[in-house]
Amino acid sequence: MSRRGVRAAFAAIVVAAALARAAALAWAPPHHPDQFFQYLEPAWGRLTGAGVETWEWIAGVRSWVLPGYHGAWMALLRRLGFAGPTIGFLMQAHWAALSLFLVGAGWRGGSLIARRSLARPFGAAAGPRTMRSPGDAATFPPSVATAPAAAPAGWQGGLLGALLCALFPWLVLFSIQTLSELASSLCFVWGLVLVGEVVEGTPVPVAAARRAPCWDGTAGRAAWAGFWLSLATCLRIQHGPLVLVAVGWLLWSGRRDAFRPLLAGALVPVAIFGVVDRLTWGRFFASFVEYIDFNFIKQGASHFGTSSAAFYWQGFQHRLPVALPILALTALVGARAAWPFTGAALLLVGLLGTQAHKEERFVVLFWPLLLISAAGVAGGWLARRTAGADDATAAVAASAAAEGAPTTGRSASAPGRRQRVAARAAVALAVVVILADGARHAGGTEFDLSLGRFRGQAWVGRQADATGLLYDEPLYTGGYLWLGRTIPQVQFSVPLLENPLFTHVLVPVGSEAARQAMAAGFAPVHEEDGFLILARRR
Amino acid sequence: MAAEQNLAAWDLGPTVRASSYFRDWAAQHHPAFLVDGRARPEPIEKWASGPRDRHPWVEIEWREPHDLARVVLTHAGRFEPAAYTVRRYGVTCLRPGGGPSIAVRDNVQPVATHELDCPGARGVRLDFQPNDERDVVRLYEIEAWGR
Repeated sequence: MSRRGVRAAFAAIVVAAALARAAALAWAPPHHPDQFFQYLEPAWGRLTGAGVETWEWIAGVRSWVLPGYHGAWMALLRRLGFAGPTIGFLMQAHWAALSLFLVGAGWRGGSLIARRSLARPFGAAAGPRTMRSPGDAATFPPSVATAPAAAPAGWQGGLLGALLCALFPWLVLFSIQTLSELASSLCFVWGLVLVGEVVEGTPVPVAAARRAPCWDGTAGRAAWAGFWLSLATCLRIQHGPLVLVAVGWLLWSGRRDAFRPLLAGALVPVAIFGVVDRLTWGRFFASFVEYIDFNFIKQGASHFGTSSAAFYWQGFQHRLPVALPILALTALVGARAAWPFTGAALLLVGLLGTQAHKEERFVVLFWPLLLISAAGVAGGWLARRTAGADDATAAVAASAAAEGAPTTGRSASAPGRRQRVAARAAVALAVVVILADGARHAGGTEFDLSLGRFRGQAWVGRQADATGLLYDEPLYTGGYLWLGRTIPQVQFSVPLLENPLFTHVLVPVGSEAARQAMAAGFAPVHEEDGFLILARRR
Repeated sequence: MAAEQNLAAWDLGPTVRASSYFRDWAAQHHPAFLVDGRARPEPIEKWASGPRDRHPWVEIEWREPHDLARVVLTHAGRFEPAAYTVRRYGVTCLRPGGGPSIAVRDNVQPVATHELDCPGARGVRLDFQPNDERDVVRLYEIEAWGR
């Protein structure tokens, strides 16, 4: 494939990723109450004075950085005239857009692993091995035009990595969740990819070098790697130990020159989070100390439920019962090239498996690491199967020409073509199986976060005569952000039906609560996807 | 002469403001409960200040000026342990140019009535001091009687 062809394929993958995330925004339910009550509602409460405040925000167990980031967006959107529910939707859309960066990480990581598995020095184009293109980086857009425009080395792994990160169903569904796991995973994957490029000595694209001629490519890349790895850890402390994999990779490869810029980059998020804690909780790193104390020393999270050591592996098998062995075997076969990514994935699961309280979202980082590993290894294999056939074809033709014998293109290239077709078909089939298997098992969470309840909440908020709302499950709503008003909203109980403040009730269709509300003088006025809204008759 | 009425009643459309409120996801002690007029409220139907609010206050403003006569507070001790009744608070009449105020130091009455003659009042403000530095303020109802 030519460079232009690779670029077009990558663009198509990005478009497909965007469309998949748009579909998730439209139809996928939220994953966990925490995405509202830990990362959106605190900011909304500060802006409006009305918002659910969970115990974590009283005990000081959370950092204000991520909610503060959301709050900045909320303040801007409020100034532009958007209502609460729309702002909530836009926050989900914003994270879906940011998750597209994972596609770029899939491209860069997959290319990197493919090149490592080929053990081919960087700079060799994917065409005939005699061609070397300075600045022929696996970055987009490729900044150096080669003649002919050969695809960058490792492109097969790059496209596979991008495709899997773009369309893997569980990652698509998770892309709209405003959780720190998503933000941290994006940062960590990018950090690890950049470390890999430092190890490899990937040249900085010529255009970037021209913008900053005094900036050494290695130092800059290492600094950014440190920044993203540090940010990933600050956002999710549980991802911190995985940084040891990145550091170990640099040590193993002898790239000690990268440590200083890596550390410099890492200090920036640490400083930010420390200062924010000082300003909000009164002490530097106060929330980190409280978090570690509660979760790891006191094991306080076990109050929210405990699970067996096999919980995460059972979850992976549940999500991908057929294709998980394909991914695992591929990553294992290519372990020599992919070990930093698979190692980080295994370390994540191993460490979190020791904690009593387990949730599927805690290990979402496992998936892009495994997908990129397998994609890179498969890409390297594909490159060998196709480049090997090309070399054999060229060798046969050259030999026949040297002997003066006519070359019959068909008979000389047929075995090579069959081999290429078979290799590509095998990889394509594997991708189809992975995506189809993932799509079949992507649904289902442990919480009843029905979209109907959210839409019902937003509908009540739009009613000018609403002065109070009773709903069935306060934990499974979007809080005051989704109501968009400061009127009281509390859990339904029959005595509260007598309080004149509560003008509206939101409960499942056909529920006992609906019957009780009607008996107390409420009448159905609207329905949303299995949920009934009743209003007090005047 | 107009009949005396509770100027803070919810159906007269007052504006209620509070410095904070206790807003755990399972227990929203919203300030609107202060004016709902419930004679036998559930425990949820009270206002409670936020846990970090060391100087909680509440303001109730009505739509037009009225002649305020007295303010009646139904403290949490009326329906819950007596220790929840706030001992120290101030009651101020809100009026252009300033209105009279009362400083309460040793209240033990679960239902406390405070005479506050204030012609042309626009509202009333209460400033509380929690009984304990780690406690919150709890109040079931504020009534502002006048014409």
